[in-house]
Amino acid sequence: MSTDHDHQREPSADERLVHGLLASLAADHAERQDGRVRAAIARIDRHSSVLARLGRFGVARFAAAGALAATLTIAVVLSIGPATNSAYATLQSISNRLATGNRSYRQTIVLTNRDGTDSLREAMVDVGTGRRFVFAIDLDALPMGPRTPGNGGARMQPGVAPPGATQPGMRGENGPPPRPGARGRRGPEHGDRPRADGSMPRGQDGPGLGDRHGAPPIAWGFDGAEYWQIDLAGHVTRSSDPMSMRDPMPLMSGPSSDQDSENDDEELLTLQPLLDRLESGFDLTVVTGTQARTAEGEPLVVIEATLRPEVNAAARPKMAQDEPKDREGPSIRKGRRGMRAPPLPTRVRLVANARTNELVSVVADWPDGSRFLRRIVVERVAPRAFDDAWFSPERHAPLAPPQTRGG
Amino acid sequence: MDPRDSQAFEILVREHADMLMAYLRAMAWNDALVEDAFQEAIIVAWRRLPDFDRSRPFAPWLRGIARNTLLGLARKQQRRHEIAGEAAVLHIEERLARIESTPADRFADRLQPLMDCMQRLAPDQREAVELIYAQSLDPRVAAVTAGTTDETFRKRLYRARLQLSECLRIKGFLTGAPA
Repeated sequence: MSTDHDHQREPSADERLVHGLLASLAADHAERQDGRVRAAIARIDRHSSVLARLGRFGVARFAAAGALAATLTIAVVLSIGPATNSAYATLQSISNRLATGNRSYRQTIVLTNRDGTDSLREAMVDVGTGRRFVFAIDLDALPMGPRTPGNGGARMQPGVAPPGATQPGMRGENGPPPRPGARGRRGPEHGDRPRADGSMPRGQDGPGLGDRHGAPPIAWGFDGAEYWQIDLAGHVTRSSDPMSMRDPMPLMSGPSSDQDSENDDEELLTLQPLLDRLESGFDLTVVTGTQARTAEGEPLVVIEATLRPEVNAAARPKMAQDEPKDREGPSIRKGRRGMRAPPLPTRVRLVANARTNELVSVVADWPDGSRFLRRIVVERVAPRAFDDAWFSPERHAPLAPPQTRGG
Repeated sequence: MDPRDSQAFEILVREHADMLMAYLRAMAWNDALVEDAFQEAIIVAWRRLPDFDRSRPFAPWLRGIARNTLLGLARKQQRRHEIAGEAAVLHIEERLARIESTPADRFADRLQPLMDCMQRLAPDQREAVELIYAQSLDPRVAAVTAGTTDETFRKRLYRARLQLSECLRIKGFLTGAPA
């Protein structure tokens, strides 16, 4: 079938329609149509068989919508092509749907440095009643030092960092921190110290804690009434619109003008849509016989998703074309307001409570497919003993009193 | 998948597949994009089948899904500019709805006016249409087969489509009433 048309002019609606109708003239039209329908039905059947097996345990919406937070990163990562689901939209969905019940998740991102070493980014997501949540970057390795014991989790003043402290939320894995000045790391340079105003110097070029507009955000949440974000300088931004917030972690994009608003709200809320998303590019397998159980004795179901070779191959040339070889670090942003999704992970492992389908962990691996990402883990952990005040920005501020901005 | 639902859905899809393909091709000139959208639209339709109001016709609902699916794919592939504009899409949908209202068992049977118009084309234009659409030849191969240059062949094909549009309008096929 031709894709040809006169590129000098926009075809009229009638010409387009005639073109569409003429497709039925093809000698092998019926055969092709049959193949298309068969392929689509086969995909539905294949997917349904996975869900049917899950159905033994009861496929239902998550018992606790706090689990939705766990899908945040993985859902962004799994966006194929330029991301149509921003993290902000996802969080908005979460905030709209959260049920009751405290949940905590640890999010770990393993980044690959240019020198071959790995770095970690860590964050905690706490979800509470009343749709409240806190997304806080792990700052324990800040130059300004770890949290001050007995001070409600507040941090020590900038400039009193113990010798050898590393930069925010990023450490060398299984060993000493990366050497100062090592290339390819995201965020503020290792060993950088906060400026006089408390902001961190900007990193080399990638998204991350080194922010282009002042101090980097370190925590983000919803206190039951407003969204808020606090940066390293202690500035608090409040707004009723989460889309107005800035990126607290790599892989998140700012508000995009190119969002597929039709499906965003529903897409990421249940296990099934997550599987739907995976199904288009991955082979799904329900791992059986593990007999694994949660600490509470709940049965677990393990789903492994393996990237299909043809999908992987199709993605590579585009990536190679888009990413200059000499570019430092990740190419996950195409512009300030948009984000190009990182390459698809080669393998994704989902562990869910077999009774409730609540996600227990999501692990996405890029064994050799990315110069940037190595692994993302989102895992449910024992809820921290947070109280109501935990969801206010003040509890996540540097020691200096927060300054409030209009949102 | 409930076997009965599955079978019913497949029957519905097969019944509307020609319309769906024509609609997607009318919206996007890119074959790969159209093929992807066709697959995805059917899968999304299956997933959303519980939301479908069975008292309403299936075809417009399916087209709505297909339209959103195609637009989503086009955005992801940065091909949004290749998709028909909103006014053109509305126009196409209206015309397709009109074609569907024509009494016939199959979508192909409703296209008899198109076949009639094909017969009225000048021989070189009819040849161009047949080489491209019936034989699915690459345009450059088709040009060689027709013994002409790429440019001439492209213009010939363009004029053929215009002629067909005009013929169908006169027949009332695209306007609802004979001129």
